[in-house]
Amino acid sequence: MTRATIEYVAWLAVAASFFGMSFEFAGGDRQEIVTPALWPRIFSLITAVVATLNFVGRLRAERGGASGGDEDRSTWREFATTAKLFVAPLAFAFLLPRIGFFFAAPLFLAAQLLVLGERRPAVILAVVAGVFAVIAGVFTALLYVALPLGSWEPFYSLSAALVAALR
Amino acid sequence: MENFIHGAELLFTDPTALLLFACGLLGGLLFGCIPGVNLLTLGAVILPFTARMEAEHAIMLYSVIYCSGVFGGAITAILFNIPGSPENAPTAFDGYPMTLRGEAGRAIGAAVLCSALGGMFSALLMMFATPLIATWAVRNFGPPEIFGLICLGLAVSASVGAKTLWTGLLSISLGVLIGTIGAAPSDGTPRYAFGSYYLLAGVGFIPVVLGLFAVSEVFAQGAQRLAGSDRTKTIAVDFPSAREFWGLKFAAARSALIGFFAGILPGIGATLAAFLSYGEAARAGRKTKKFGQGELEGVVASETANNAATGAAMIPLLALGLPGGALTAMMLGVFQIHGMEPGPLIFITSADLVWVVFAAMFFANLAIFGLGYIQTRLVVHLLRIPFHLMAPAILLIATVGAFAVRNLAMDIWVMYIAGIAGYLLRRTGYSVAGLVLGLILGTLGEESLSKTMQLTQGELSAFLDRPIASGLIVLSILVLLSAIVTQLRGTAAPRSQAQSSAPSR
Repeated sequence: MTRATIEYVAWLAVAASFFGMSFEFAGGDRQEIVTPALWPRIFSLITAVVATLNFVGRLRAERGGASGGDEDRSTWREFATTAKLFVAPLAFAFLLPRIGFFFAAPLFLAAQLLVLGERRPAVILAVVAGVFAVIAGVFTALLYVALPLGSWEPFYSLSAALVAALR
Repeated sequence: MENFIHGAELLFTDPTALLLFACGLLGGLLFGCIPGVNLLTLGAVILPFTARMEAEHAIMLYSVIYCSGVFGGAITAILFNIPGSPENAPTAFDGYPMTLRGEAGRAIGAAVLCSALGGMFSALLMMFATPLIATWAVRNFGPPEIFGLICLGLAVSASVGAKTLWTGLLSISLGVLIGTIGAAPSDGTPRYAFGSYYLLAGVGFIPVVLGLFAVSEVFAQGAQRLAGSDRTKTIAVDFPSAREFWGLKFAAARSALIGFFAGILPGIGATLAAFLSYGEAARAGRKTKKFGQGELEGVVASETANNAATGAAMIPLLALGLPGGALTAMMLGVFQIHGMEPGPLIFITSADLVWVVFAAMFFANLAIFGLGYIQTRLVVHLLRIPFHLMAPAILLIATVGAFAVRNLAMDIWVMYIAGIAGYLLRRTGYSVAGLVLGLILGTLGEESLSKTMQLTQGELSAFLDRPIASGLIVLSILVLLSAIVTQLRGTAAPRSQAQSSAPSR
């Protein structure tokens, strides 16, 4: 399956989902023209039509000589490589409400540096310490921004104590 | 003039305003010129914190970031072929080839001069034009006209930042569809909420913007690093000579005018301005100059126009409440955070705010002259900080920004999912700027359509009785049809060429 086909199927799925689910709040007995379903239905249909035109255009371009095969392969290879970049942020989003900012942030910084290819322990330590100190200090002590303290013990208690100390 | 002096007084006599002016100026210049971040990153990151500022200060801060950031983006466009924002894209067409030829200094010097001149011209014109437009708008602009204007904005923004018209339209449609999640503007009916209180309030605009711009940019730069294609350059700064610049005076004047008038269109802003101006320069000089191969006039056309458009983009925002681009959409968010609604009445209800913003934009552009020169010398050193050491810090600040708006962990998920989606969309030729414009203009469009129908008891024919509204809707249809015809001709031409060049059987 080519990238063009996958994109086309994805757009049709988006359009069909928004259009199909609009019946849940359309209000079948309503007489007015502008119902809550009108706007999403118009743009669902536009999405389906434009996705079809886009797909047809790409098929014609491929038949006309532009080969999409190499582009498809390089894109998939790049996605597979880049997927590593997404792991640390998503893990960070999962851990943040559980162990809190003050424990999750240093782990995230170190993990992201490693993913981006930094291998020198001294550099990792310096960047983690510097960035964490500046961000935690500025947002907690100066701006009084409420950062997540976590919900798991003892992280919550330790984070709360740290915030109290910083302020 | 009195109002301008009053605005300048308010700006320079209030230490907080002055401090924020300086921070915005330096922040915009800095974020604009560092690869991987841009003025939108800065705007998105500080958006949650503006809730703690006075509305006057917050809007002024954004207007200064807008001026300095649009210029700052030219530096990455010239040095790395990475436009700081879509409006700097045409700058890279000739600026980067100049860098490859060892003339980065001349290109940046021209960008400094033209950005400052274009911006000041625009700020001065804005001061005279905005109140006039606002007065006219009070009398002539109701929900039907706003709906027409939004249709035009949506139609024209299809060409912003996407690979083709179709991908641009799909990006906008996706933004509009995401904007329909939550309570309907007509009667509050829950849509696509699945019983979730989070979705009932609509998808958070700030996390989406943070994800689409800041996070996706970090992913894009990170991917380049993993692929081993990132690199660092050093530069020297040599401004173009006075004689050389004088030779480009007509190009600069033409670009300033194009930039200003294109910038007024909502949904377009500085991006179309820069492209139109560059296109006009290339059309005018097609016989004598080699645009796209390192022509200084290409940089002049693009940079004069995009900074001229910054002031113009404030006109629909302040006078009509319509954002002209992603950053002005964030400014609209700042207004909403402070419970204010920009529109014609803002000149009466918040005159101080308006004139402080105007004065700040004028002086920000003036400051670009001096600071731009100093900055380009400093940038040499800043660019030596490897991107992979900055990337985790950018993500961490974005995370704090997303969380701090409503103290919801869900917003962090939304931001990172938007970041991944934004990266994939950009990588596959879609436009994240189009998506954001669809999100903000789509929501406003549905609201204005809904208000129109309520005012006219559901009579669609009411649009026919309003010449401006019907004119704008017809114009939107024409713009869209013209773009579609151009797109179809563009795809048909290569095919026919390929067929004619293929061996006959």
